[in-house]
Amino acid sequence: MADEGGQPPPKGPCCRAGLPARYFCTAGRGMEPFLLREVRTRLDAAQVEYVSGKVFFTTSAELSMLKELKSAERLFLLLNKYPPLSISRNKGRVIHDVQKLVNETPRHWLDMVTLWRSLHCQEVKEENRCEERPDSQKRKLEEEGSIQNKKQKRELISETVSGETQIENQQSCNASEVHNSNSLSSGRSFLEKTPELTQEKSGESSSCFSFRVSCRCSGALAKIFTAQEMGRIIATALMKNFGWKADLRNPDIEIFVHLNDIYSVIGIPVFRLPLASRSYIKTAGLRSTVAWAMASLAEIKAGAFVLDPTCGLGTILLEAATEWPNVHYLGTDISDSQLEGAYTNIKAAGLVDKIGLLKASVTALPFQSESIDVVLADIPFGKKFKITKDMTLLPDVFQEIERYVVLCGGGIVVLLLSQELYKRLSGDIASSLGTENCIPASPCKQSAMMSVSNAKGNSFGTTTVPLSTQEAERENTSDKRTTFGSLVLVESLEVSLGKTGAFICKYKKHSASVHEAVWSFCFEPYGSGAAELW
Amino acid sequence: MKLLTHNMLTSHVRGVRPGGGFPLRIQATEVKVNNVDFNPEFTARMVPKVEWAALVEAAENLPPEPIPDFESNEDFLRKVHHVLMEVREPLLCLLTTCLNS
Repeated sequence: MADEGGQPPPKGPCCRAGLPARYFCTAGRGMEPFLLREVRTRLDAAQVEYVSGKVFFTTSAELSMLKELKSAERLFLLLNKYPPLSISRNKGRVIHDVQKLVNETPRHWLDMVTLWRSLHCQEVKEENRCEERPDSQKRKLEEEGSIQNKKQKRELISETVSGETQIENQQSCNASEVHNSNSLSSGRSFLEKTPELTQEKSGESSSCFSFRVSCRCSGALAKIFTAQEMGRIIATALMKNFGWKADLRNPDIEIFVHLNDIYSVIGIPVFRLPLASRSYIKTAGLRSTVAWAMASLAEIKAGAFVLDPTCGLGTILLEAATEWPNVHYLGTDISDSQLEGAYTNIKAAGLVDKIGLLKASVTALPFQSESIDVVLADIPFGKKFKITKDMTLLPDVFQEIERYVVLCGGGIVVLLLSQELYKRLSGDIASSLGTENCIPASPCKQSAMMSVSNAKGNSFGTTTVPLSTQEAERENTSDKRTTFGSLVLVESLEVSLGKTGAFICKYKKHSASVHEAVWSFCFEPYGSGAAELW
Repeated sequence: MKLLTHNMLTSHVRGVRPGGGFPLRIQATEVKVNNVDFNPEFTARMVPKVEWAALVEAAENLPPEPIPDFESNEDFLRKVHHVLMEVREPLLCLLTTCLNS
């Protein structure tokens, strides 16, 4: 763990909100460097620390800003972080230790719950700001209404079931009313039709509310207790201490507990939906967090032409266009069904004016040479394409990308490569250097090595080859290294895509003369974002 | 398709002389106009990036060259915005007219 505390307190326009609070985000494997960078730049966060899969930070940024985090999975208010529980053979002792997590600091628990509640109200108010309802009582009702709506989103299927749970909880209204409230789509109509329900609910929730414990156990502790057992122990302690009611289906508050060999973390989710499930993406292809991370490396500037030559459902373009709006985006794909899906997505996100779609083959795109500033591509692998097919395709893909990416001003190419493709590509480079066994220790060193290899190999191709000549060359080419040509690997980061892993690789197109610039880039703080972690 | 996108496209058909694949000829049988929010900053950045001659060929009512101080001339930028972003011709025409040599 790297503690980076002792930084100056947050400053800047984004922290008008008042009191700073300590949060943590969960992140996919390999996303931590992106998240570290993001909380610092976007939230002006202080005391940023990380462990594998989690980033802890302190910020006083408003909730609307917290919601903007793009590389995180979920955001939690940190309730407490302890060293790992001491494991003994005596189960009773472990149980006692777990109970102490709750019993020892009841005041702190209640304070944090109050803080969470104020955040929660803030969230609801922000959602309703546009509706302009000055009457405070009505506003409160609306808050409840939109809470209902969120629950509804998550639990579409169990609508009726959650309705029943509520009856048990509140014992204050008849079944038809509750069901009615759950199936309504807008907070406003909710408040108009069932005011008595919400009134009683908000009255009740001030004294006692329902909760659920979501527990994850790993490491040595998981061998003695299951996560369910642990969750039950903590839940019992909470009921005893604070008189809260357990409700697994539809709780007011969720207590998230993660116990492993490195730490014990307790937190409360700030938003009901994960940050990673975007409101502007109807059907996700690639993971939204990874898509954003790729775009974040691409140094996209206003007025740039940005292309995704294998756009699929357009996830990368949607993530990029939402974050960097003054840009002309283009997506191409060979599949009609994927393009149709992408168009549906783009339309739903209201980005039709920003993102154009074309049907074209990735190996012969109808773009003029040096016309594209940034290429973002999830090179296809996995279900549809076998590795052998990918490899025969890849040199053509690289050569084509190299052709239409601009040289002047430094064209950027960010690719997502499967582990196999990445290894083969690195292998090609290593063998060309005669250092096959040299496995780099960090991405930073690696990128330096890549640059060197290209310098020694003298493989910078001319970039203004006329089309006809180029096609002839393409047919004759057999040297694998030419697949890189003038594209030099600047940075590569391993990220998890759930079951498989992949590498985000950033290339910069340049001629030999600007080689030095790229070399030094590897040692700048921005370029070595990964080095902070490893 | 937007004329901005059209401006970037070239033909890859074999046998076309170098540079001959650009610009693609448009058969504007069915021109549509969509309203797109005017973004002067974005449009001003596009002016030096596009192939102006090809744009003039495609759009007709533009001056033969960008006027001086175009960044601050809203009338001009609005005209360019209209041509680049709002005028659309069907993709079909582009696919059938890929030779322009």
